[in-house]
Amino acid sequence: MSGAPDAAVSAGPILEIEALTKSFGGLVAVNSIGLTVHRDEIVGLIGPNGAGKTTLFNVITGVYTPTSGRVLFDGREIGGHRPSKITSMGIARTFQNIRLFGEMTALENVMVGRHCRTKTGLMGVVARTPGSLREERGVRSRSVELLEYVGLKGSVSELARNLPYGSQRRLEIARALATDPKLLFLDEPAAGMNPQESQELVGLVRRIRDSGLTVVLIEHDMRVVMGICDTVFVLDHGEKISEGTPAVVRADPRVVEAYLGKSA
Amino acid sequence: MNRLAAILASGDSTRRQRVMLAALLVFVVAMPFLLQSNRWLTLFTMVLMYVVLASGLNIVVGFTGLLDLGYVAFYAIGGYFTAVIMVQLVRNAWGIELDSVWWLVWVNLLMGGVVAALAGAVLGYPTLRLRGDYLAIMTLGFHEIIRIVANNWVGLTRGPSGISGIPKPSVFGFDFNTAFRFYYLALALAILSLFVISRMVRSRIGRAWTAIREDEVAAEAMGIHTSRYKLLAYAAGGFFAGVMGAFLGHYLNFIHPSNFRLMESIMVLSLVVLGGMGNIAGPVVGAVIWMTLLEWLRDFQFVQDHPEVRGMAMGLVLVTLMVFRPQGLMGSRRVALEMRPATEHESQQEREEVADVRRA
Repeated sequence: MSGAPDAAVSAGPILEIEALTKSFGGLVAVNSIGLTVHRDEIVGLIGPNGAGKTTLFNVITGVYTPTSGRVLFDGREIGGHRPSKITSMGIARTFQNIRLFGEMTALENVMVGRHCRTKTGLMGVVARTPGSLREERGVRSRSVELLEYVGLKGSVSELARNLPYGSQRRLEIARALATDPKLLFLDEPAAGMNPQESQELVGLVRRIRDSGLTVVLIEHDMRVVMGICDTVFVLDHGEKISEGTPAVVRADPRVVEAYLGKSA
Repeated sequence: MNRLAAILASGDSTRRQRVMLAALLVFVVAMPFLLQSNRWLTLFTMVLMYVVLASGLNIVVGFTGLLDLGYVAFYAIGGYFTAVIMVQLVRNAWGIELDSVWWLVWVNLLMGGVVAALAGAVLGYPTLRLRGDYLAIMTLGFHEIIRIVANNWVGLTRGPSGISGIPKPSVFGFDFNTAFRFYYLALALAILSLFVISRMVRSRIGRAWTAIREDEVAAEAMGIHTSRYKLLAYAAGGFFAGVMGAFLGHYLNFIHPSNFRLMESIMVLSLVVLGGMGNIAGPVVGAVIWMTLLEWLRDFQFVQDHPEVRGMAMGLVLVTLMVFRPQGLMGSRRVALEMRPATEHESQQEREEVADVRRA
């Protein structure tokens, strides 16, 4: 906890999930999960393939409607809102299988992220009112800043699809940050990265947290998870089987069992 | 002159574009004085109309990535709107002399667009959940609905007889009654339309459209209300078709269901594809090159003997283009539509989405 003067105002947890269930027909992908994410933490979400991590992400960010249970963001219920609404409330995300706007430049990708923080309408756009021009300049300079922040200063006018893999992952993060989130979800941000790239990513995630955001990440690279997470939740078969600091979770026999199977 | 050459040779692309745009403007304004015959003047008036139609469709298909095969439905709505108001209502039902309400023509040009835009949003609503092939089939259905209504609701549209007697536009007694004058009227409408469209697509609205085209799920996750922006794209596209439909009515003085056949939709879409989707200049180039070519073909005895050759030429050009330059003549960026083979990554994503939908 930061202990900032306004800590009392925003003291509650940033995200609370209560008995959340998501089933697809007969398949229960997320089964009555409850968890609490505290402010200014880096939270890891791990578990074997098919444990329901991405489904949980998708429910929280509005891609799926919860079957039952509640999702409280900053004390407000967000379950069932459309993704764009949830994003404008302050949750941003990246995708497991990178989903950039391939035929747009890196800069344009980030500028799209500013959409929900701008408001020029059709009339303002066609008339190019002073307000709309000012807004557009603001969007551009903020987006350039964000590209610099994630280390993509040199790729501003590069088409997103032409960027190398590691840069695409970082561009996704810049685009998500452009929506001014309070809570950032990263779905396997280090996937496919070499050790040096994932080290850089760890540094970036720390800087993001230090700038006052809360980060939740799904990650399979245990060095990343154990290195930066304050709290780790472990999912298996749609249920939460363990939670705590990385050290606690690593020592939990249920976690070892979930990953390696029951010993004879 | 030297300074001009320096600008053209320099790397400053926006200044070079401006100079070229100015040159083009001078050319299109001077054109009627260079042409010998009304035949080509009439043709270029039609070209300008198709420039606007194709540019409007480009908003939907090129920028937002929604394959629309029924675009001409909105063209029909604009045309019938002004025909019904002017002839059926004002003249026949109310018995008002049309010359005395000359200003209504100009109101109707705008209102034809507004009504078509509303129709675009209304017809777009049920398609929000559809993509690709299914969306295309549904838009095809809308086109047929509008055409069949026009053909059969005799009380309103006079059905297959069409509506004649739609007045020529005029301003304070100045009549647009020659090919020469109509050319300039069409030119003014085309320039105004292109101006508005280019400002729309180069804005946060245009970026939202392009983001939807590139990846709808990601666009929504970035805070874009995708349904709203898709409807806005349909409405914006419909607007320009509606204005042109009303213009067509006043230009021909006659509106008939055969003005709005499916072939028209395909034609307009072909112009967009030919010129390059998702690019302001694309539909303009497509319309100019294509329609000039078709008209020029008429000069050949062989084509006069076998008029069907013109349709074949169109098919041949399109197929050749798809093989050698799938992004269209002006397309600098490769636009992802349903017309190109999917990459492995995309087909994987598509399969996952289908699986998700089935489970949900």
